[in-house]
Amino acid sequence: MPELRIIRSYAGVQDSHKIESYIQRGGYQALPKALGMDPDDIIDLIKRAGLRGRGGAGFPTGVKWGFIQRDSKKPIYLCCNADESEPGSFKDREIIEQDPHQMLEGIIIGCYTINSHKSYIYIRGEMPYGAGVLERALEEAYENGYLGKNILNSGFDLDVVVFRGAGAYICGEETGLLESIEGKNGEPRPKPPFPAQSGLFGCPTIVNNVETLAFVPHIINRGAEWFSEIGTPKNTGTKIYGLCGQINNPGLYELPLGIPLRELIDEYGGGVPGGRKVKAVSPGGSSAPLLTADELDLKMDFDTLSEVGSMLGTAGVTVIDDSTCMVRVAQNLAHFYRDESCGQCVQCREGTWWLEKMLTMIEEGRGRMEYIDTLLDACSQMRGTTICALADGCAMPVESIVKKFRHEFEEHIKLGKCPFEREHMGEWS
Amino acid sequence: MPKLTIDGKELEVEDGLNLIEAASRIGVDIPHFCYHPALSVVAQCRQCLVEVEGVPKVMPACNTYVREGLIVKTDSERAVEARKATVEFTLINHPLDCPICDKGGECPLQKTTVSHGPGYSRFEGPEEKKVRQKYYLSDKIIYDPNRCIMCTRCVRFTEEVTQTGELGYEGRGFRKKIVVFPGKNLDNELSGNVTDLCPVGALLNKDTLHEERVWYWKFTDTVCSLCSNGCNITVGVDPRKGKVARVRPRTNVDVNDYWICDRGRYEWTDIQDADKRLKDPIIRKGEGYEITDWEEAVSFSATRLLEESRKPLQSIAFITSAALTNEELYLFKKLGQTLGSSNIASSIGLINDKKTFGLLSSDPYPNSTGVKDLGYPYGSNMVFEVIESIMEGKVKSLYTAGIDIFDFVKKEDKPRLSEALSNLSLFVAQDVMLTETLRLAHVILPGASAYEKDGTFTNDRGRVQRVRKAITPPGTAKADWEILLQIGKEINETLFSYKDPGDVMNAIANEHPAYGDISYDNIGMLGVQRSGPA
Amino acid sequence: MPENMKLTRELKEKIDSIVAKSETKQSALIPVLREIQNAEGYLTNESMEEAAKILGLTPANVQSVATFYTMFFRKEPGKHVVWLCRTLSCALKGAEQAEHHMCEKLGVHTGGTTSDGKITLMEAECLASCGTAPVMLVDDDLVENLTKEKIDRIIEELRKD
Repeated sequence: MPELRIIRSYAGVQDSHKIESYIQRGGYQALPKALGMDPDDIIDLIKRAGLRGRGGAGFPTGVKWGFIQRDSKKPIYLCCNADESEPGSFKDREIIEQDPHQMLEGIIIGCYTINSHKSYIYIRGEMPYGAGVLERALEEAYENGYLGKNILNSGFDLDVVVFRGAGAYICGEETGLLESIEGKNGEPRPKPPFPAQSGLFGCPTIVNNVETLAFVPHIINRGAEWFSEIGTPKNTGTKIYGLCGQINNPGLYELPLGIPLRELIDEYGGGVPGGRKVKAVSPGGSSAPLLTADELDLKMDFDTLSEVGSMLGTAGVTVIDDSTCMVRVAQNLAHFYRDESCGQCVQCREGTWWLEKMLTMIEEGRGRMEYIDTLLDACSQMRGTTICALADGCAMPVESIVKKFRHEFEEHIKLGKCPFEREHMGEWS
Repeated sequence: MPKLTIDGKELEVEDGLNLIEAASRIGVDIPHFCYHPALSVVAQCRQCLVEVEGVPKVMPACNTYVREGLIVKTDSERAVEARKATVEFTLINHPLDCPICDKGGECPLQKTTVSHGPGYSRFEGPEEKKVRQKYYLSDKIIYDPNRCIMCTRCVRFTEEVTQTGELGYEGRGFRKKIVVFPGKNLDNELSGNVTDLCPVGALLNKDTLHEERVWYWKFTDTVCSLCSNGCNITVGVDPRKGKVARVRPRTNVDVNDYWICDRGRYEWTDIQDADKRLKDPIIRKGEGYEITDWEEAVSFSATRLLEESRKPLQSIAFITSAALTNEELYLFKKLGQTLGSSNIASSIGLINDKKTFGLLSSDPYPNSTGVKDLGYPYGSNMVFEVIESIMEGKVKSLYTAGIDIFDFVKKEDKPRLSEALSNLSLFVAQDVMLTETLRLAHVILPGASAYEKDGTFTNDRGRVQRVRKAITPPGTAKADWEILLQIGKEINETLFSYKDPGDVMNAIANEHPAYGDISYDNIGMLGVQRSGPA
Repeated sequence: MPENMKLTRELKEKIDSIVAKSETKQSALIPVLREIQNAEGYLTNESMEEAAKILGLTPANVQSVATFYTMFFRKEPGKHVVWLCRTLSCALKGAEQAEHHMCEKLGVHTGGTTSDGKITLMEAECLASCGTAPVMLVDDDLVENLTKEKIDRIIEELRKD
């Protein structure tokens, strides 16, 4: 079955990042339409479409926009979160590099809706190419009257700037992102206050993910009903699924929300290479609790995965085959979170360090049986006790691996070494 | 005034309070490290986690504010478990070196570990702990990144209170530590406060490093005497050594907030330098000096003062300074008046409203206001006028207390003053250290520093505050009020029948309406405002 | 840049224009540090102090930010910087082998710079290109689907440059 491409219309198109290409594909037709609408009607439309944030949390975008008090005396900001750093996720990069105008049109409509006249696109420092593409796209948009003063004679003014990060996963957390734009360490802020009340420079702020914003023009063009009929009733529209890890056809696939994981892996991904079997799947970026081979019939949507204690997250699916040591997988993830913790909260700063230490000791054959329960206990105390969700993001996958693959941990400890023969975690070609 | 419930107890408090403050009102102590009432709320240490009904997650009490109908549980199983876990996490990389840590015994982390911790650690292999070099942030303060729990109070202090911003971070996550910029120091006048703010032994004073154990200390609440602000302090003394080990701020939001300056904290030590102090009374005999006892010193001084006062054409001068307490100033002036002196004066410091960080005054005296309130002719002009009379030979005898009058003459006039002082028929001098003035006296009476006596100072805003004796003066030296009282009694038993400084304060209150309501019973820990302009 | 040299006029002008475009002075900090690093290769104490002065910040503020973000260098890196991804999806596709191979080939540990000063090898966390793992960022260019041969070729090119 082919993909259902709504936002991936750029795929395979030559020079798709240029404004001409976007316009040819129907781009910038939603903008004049939106500029003629009442912002409340846009919010209502997005709510009825059921668009949920594609950054990971799945929060309804229309509801989020509705939090903004549009007659605020302070400036209002819309920040586009282009800091894609979640291991296993690589969808935003493609949208940024291949079709910057699509997300930009979404930004302009979003800003009009919340009465914002200044928008930041926060792109991570490790994406210099994408940042360059965005900067050129902004120039094109200014030249064509989609940005600047009196956009399309609507009386609406908007400036958009690209802000490059400098290497910190935590800046993908929305308040960490705001701190970073303000010129500080990307340390997430305690909430409340929430950004909609006090965000960038203390002003009302909305932070939306790249993919979320890319959907907005299409909903304006084709209506809420059209969008809401795709996917499942509470998980509407399509989603760009990423497939990576030990899989035959890695890549991005835009499909309706709710597609069974097995179908994604077997039909689109072409299964696991080398005749091996799926052992575990990280379904939505590395922060999501892992699923086992027995859970592949689950539907890939926000609610189904949350019901089984995992999450759709960014829908970046990492497939792990049966030749891989799960202790090493857990250790690799803990290492990531340990290095990316901003260091404010003790559960995160020390917890990620401790998990990594215990996992390394088990992997190296220096662990003891008690560690297994200690790992689980530490994970449970790292969840929901910190300013932001980074500690949760570390605890959730590690906890799921320990619970679901406990026998591998026990084997390591009993043997006093890693039972897997492979020296490296995975093989390269 | 929202009503809320904490641990089943209902309370009504003012709006804007966080749960740590609200709970403390009903005696519920929520442990915390990063929260401090004078600093911004960062909710980082996560030690104050509590359960709030209707909220799925445990909440930091520091960043949760009172609200009508809020139901808070600090003692629920979830809250207790969460705080226990926080202690365990905090201790993962914290060295368990309390026995050799200066903070031991008064360490909030140590206390919290006992009261809220799990009582064990599941972290194995101390050799696995991260170990990093200690380094000095200034010549006064050393930083141990291993003990640091990243509460960031010190950094916020330099950003928000002093706004000098010397401290910053290096790295992030588990690598993060507190640093000064290369080549720079933590060198603002309030820098020492970070050692009090630090809830662990990460920031320590170099001056007493590994020299003191806090559990030996006895604490005395008193007032700093190094400027006219009158910062409230607590003095820690190891009674075995009989020395002040540490001076620390005592919170008084009307005077010094939570802070003291580095002078008050570190630069009082010469009073403890035995070589510099006068330890016993000294009498001039012929060409030389002799150490004597108080009986002789007092009786000699009193007898001779009386003799001088009875001589025809007598002229006795009394000069003092704003270093003395109100009680001492009162007694000194009364002594002068009893002996019929018409030359009584006191020096004061220049009171400047502009204070560095709101608490460092340019007036180096603690009691300039007291001098004025007690009706002294004051100021360097008045002091100089008396000195002129001495140099002109009009003054025949002199009593100085707590003042080196050579400070008030130009260099070229010093020989003239020396000569005039040598020609006096009586010169009684009282002070804590030997000065140029004292060298020429007939009797030298060793007094006591502000850490060694009781009394009151009136600060530059008219607040009357108690100084309390924390240590005994060296040798047989006595509190100045005691010396003055003994001499006074020899001269006139009835006029000087006071028992103690409190008694003298009652006399001040009787005579000076501005002090009318003040007595030692109502000054309390934080002092009282005397009436009249500040 | 020698430690005692101040920022060049050209760089100062660039910084001024960044500051002029920023909503607050402080919000210019990260772009300004990037500009300095572009011009001078890394951030010296002097340039950080200078940046602090221009932006009305304390040097400690600047140091905090310069050490929080991994892409700022406090020591002079090689002419080319290679960021090799180590995170899960790359590790599953042989990133560890790639790292060992790189280290061996370059004669450095991760984080080190080759003795000729040409190449610094850094470990990166997920570069958001998991579908083409293993990947690395060579200066500004992403190199995907790494193989031994590809790495050898790239190292050779960088060494020649």
